[in-house]
Amino acid sequence: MNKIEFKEVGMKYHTQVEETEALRNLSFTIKENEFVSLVGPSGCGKTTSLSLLAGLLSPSSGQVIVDNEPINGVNEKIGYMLQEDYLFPWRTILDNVLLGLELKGELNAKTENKARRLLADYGLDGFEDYYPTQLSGGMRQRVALARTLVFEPEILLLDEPFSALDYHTKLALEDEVAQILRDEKKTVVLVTHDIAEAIAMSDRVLVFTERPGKVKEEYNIDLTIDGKYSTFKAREASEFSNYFNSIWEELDVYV
Amino acid sequence: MFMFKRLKDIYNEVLTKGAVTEEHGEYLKRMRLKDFSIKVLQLMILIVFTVGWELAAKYRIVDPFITSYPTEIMKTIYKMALNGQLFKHVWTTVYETLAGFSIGAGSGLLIAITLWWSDYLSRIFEPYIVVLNALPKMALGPILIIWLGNGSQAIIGMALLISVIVTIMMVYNGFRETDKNKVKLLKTLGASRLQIFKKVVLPENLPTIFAALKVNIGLSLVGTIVGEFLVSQAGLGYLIVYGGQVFKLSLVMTSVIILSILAGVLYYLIVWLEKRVIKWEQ
Repeated sequence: MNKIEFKEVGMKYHTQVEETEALRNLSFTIKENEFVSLVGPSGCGKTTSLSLLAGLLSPSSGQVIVDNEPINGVNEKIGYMLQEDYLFPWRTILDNVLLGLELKGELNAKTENKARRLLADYGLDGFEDYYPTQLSGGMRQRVALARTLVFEPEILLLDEPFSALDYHTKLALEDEVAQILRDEKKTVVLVTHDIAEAIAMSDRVLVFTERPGKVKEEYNIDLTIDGKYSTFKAREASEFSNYFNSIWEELDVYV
Repeated sequence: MFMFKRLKDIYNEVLTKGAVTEEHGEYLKRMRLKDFSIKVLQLMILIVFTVGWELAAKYRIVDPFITSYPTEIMKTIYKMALNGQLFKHVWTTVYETLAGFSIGAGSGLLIAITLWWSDYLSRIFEPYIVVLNALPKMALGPILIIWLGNGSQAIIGMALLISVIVTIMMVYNGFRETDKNKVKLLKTLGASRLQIFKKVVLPENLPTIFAALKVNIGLSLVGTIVGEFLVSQAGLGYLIVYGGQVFKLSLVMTSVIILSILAGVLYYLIVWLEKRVIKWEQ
């Protein structure tokens, strides 16, 4: 079943001096529980696509459809993770996680317990009353993940969520997040510049053209993995480098 | 000899208190001695200045008639405290300053919120705010007196006028520069404009608001004193003008010194309040 459908979506931005066409005739579908990555050159409209899905922007033409209905206003089914954690420094870790629940009016003893449990699951128990400045980058991004997952969004939008982290933390967190999202059976759209990350984490990779963006090529990722899935094992799979090279060549034109 | 050693132990103990290792103790000792020397020097400057002033006046290096001198000022304060004049004038100035400051800060904050709420309104009013900011508010003194009468109200009006525009500009600019991504995050969570204001814009700008308050407590005091210069029967500004007119320099100097103390107290009141409100590390 199609969870998400982009139907000939066009998007234009206007400023005083010019018009920028970010997307033209962008069409693709994403199935329920699928993990899809969008890769492409800078400024090709990947982030615009996420904003359209989130309902922060409306398309200039075409339709963005979620669960068979065009998006109208902010999409309540999505959780959005940005490049940085954007934790609020004036809130404690627990209060940061509770932010979404608070805004949606769903804050109660039960949901608060859930928030505490999530923090514990991500190895952050005992840090509930700390302030964000007291935590490391990886811990903060895990808090951001808890903040996104605590209100149980059906669709998760990840906009380069690991790009601000150091390489070690990035690899470890990539694996953690990929496992969590597979276990929770979410539909995920990941925007990234990191081809290896896209292949290791997703079921499918969509390669965008230069602006105005549309899908140039798509790859179904099918890796041979022994035992339980992890991004580390995925990177060791024999097919990995083939995928990497093909996608690299697709993108290479634009460097 | 034994006493001396005991004292030295106590000295080291106090300076290295809370040390985790010996090296850390040395570090703490260095830091604390430095802090202490700064405090001592600050106090020394005050003492040297006061004693120098006193001696210079006593030995006629300066003319005490036009400079007054510390013991004379102390006597004046003592006399004024006894006959109730001190409390009356200080209270008048404090009351007028705090009234002008609170109304100025409150209305400035409300206007800044309104301008943030409506980009359209802010663009309409921008040139007026810029002009009002550049205009010397003292030029409006006579108008205030005619409109509000020659009493406290005109003075409060002056204090308000001088602080309100700065509040609007500082706070509004802070609001506008709120982290766009934090706002975006809230929008994806379905936040309303009021929620965006309450959850991000206001808390993120608390430091800016306190910076504006710190500037404004001083500006309100300026407004009050200027107002009292123009029209008043009481207050430190009145005392300064009156003392100047009758050439009682001890009265002028006394008022200026009380005014300095007052300015310091009011400023640190805001700092104290800030520490209570902003608990997170910036």
